[in-house]
Amino acid sequence: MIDETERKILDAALKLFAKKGYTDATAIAIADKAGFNEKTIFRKFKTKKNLYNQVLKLNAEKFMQELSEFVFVDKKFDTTTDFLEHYIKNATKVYWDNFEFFNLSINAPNEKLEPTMENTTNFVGEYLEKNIPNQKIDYRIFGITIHAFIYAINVERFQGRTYINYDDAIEKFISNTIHCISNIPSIDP
Amino acid sequence: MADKTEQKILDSSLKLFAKKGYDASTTIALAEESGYTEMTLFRIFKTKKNLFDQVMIRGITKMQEDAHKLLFIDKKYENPRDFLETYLINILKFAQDNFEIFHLTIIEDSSMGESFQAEVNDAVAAYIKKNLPNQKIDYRTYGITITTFVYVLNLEKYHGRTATFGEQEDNIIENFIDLLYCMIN
Repeated sequence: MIDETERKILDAALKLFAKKGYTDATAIAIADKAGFNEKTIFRKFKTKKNLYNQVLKLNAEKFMQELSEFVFVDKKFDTTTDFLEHYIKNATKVYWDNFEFFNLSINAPNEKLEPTMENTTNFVGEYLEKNIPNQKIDYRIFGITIHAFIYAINVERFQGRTYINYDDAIEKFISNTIHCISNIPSIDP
Repeated sequence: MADKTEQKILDSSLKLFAKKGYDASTTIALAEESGYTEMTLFRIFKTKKNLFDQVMIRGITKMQEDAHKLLFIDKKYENPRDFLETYLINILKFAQDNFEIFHLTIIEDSSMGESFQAEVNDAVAAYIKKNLPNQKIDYRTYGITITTFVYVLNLEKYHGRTATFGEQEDNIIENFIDLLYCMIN
């Protein structure tokens, strides 16, 4: 179990690693931010490398857990529109809530995360196919398209840029996409 | 006109800023990457912030030129599919040639990067609208969908990752064009 001190250190470490990168996020800076001294960090996590790995591991678990809880729900949706609204809105929220981790994981690559990313991409494709079956689209590419768009608008939000209106962009993306889906003839008679 | 030393420092700094981000790129590392001393860097560029700004100005100017040469070409297309295919080929080339600077306009908090992104999104929307008129789509969002997909594709390549896209790029592009095509039909 993670205690309160460890939690604070892990949170501060995530923020600093995301902002400064591994090398420049020093143990002193992380300790400062967490409100402890350096010794506490080394007592709890032994090395900075180990702390970094723990940050990635725990946040990857949290991210996957939130995706399954809020996005990949096992529920029947009445219409394709309902489903896409559910999927895109909730995925955008989970990505936003885990933005620092996600940004860190794609820009400070770590081999251990690659299988997770591949599994997620495959799973997204399968989940989309299950909920919007019989469309003549490549579901995996459809999933990547959705997730790339979500990432981009979250970066804009993170940077405080306003030329893309966040909620508006989500609505318009859904509307563009639904137009596509509903216009593809179903393979089934 | 930038002289040779200046050019070299700007080139190597672009690489390092793109790789590590502004904060994590120390002036020592920037100097090492360029092959000059920190003193030379400061003599020419005064501050790290100014060096970064110069990298951005130069890179963005090149992107603007490339966009007109490669992206927004004035040509009649036979049909929407032909347009989408040509546009995708062109934007992939554009993205590959300018990945590092484009990446910086996305990841760094910079007003230059922000206005470039705003400008390019508007230009892309206008260009698509001109070539695919009278569609029931939001053109700006449609353009952003294409740009972000291509960006993420290149980001994965930049980091040497194959997990998301696999190795078969042609296939991916074809299937992505199918998806774009069905949004307008």
